[in-house]
Amino acid sequence: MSEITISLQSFLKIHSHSFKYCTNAVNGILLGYVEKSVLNITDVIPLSHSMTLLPMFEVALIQIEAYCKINQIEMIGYYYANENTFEKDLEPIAKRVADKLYNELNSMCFLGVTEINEDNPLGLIPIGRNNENQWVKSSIKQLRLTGDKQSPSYPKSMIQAHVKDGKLTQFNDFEDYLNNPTLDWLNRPSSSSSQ
Amino acid sequence: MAETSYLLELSDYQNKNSKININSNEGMLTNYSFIHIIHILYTYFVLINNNNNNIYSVYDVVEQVILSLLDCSRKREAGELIDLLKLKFGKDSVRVQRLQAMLYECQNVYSRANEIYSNILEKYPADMLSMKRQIAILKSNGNYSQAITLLNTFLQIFMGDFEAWLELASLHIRLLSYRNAAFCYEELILIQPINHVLYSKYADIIYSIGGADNYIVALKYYTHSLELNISNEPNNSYPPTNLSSIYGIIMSMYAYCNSSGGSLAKLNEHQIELYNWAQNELKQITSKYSPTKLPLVTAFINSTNIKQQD
Repeated sequence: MSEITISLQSFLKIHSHSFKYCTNAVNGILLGYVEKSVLNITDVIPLSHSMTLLPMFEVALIQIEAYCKINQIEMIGYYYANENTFEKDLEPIAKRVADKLYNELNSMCFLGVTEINEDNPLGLIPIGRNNENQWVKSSIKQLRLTGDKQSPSYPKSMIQAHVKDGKLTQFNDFEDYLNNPTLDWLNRPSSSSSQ
Repeated sequence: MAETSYLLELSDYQNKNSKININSNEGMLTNYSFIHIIHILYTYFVLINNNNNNIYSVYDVVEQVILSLLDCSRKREAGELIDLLKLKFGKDSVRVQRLQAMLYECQNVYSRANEIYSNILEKYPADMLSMKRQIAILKSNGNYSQAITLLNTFLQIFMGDFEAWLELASLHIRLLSYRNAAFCYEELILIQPINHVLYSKYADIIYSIGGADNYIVALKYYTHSLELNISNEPNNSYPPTNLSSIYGIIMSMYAYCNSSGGSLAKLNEHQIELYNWAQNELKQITSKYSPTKLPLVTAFINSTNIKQQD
């Protein structure tokens, strides 16, 4: 199983999504590039926070595909946060979506979102496929934050600062956009209009 | 004097954070100013209790504060307030017992919570809230099929309970049994026939089941949802809120043309007209409200074009 790196911005986006909708299951698409069998996650598109149903998921994917083509970035994975943090197994829909993406994409990683604690400072678990084509949790050592080696508490302090600044109210997923077209599901920084 | 000063401080908080919607269930855990408000209320109630006032109506609010404390996982403060209520109303009060059980739930001691709920239900079999809590316990333990069974029993007694049907639908969707979920949404539509969200969600579910006939059913429900909430009129001060139905119309017709039972030739002229209207509407809304997304939406419209198919 290949190595995965994740940028700080993507890490913050994934957790902002799960904190903003803390009572719901949330999911989204990971964007980035593949280099020497290392998957580099550089951006994240948050999708939905209520139930994931086919039509709006398709709408989102078609637009993300167009976005990737324009910005020369690749779709490289999927993340999912269960509604119930204590539940060990992934929800059935998450597995189904991951199966679909696995068949469509050249290389893909699947991240489960859990609690941020000492054992798992990033709060993300890479989920790999075993020989029987089932999704099983693999070692968190595969995943690391890009940049220099930071202390294990660094990601947690970053997300805490992020939440305290009230950034969550400015964070929007695709479902928010469907209810209000002025909201930006790409979550680009407001100062620079495009990347 | 001290009492009013607390209330003043509270209204101050509300003014400063006018954006925060206290009724919204979302984002409670992370809203620091919300926790501030709760903290002030908490101090306020400890104070009036010490002053020995007999204003019973404030205890309704105390109950709400306890629930909010539990939502924020503030077990200690919640426990203290529950103890105050126990002194006031005695241990036999059902309402206080229920709060105590919810505190147990918050501490993850589900067995004791369940025990309390069962005792209440033995005495008062029609206690709706205790039964709902039992379903919630099953759900948080991951026993989804048992939760569905209990929820079905609940719905046989309280057929008109909107939230219960909604919950049952989401449990069925979770287990990917879309047909059952669709049934729940049919009941929901009967309860609230002019709620446009229900029509669009129902269409989403029917679309997810798939098949040429279902795509046409989904199309009809998306259209009806838009009929109830078009919300894109020139003099509207707020942006349209029903974008999913417009996307849904395009998607269901695109899926119909690509499915085995359907084709472009089988669509009638009104449906084609609707399709064109949806495309134009989508372009108009995008250029008005989110011009930076125009290339993406145009790409979407091009790749779901039904006319190039045949």
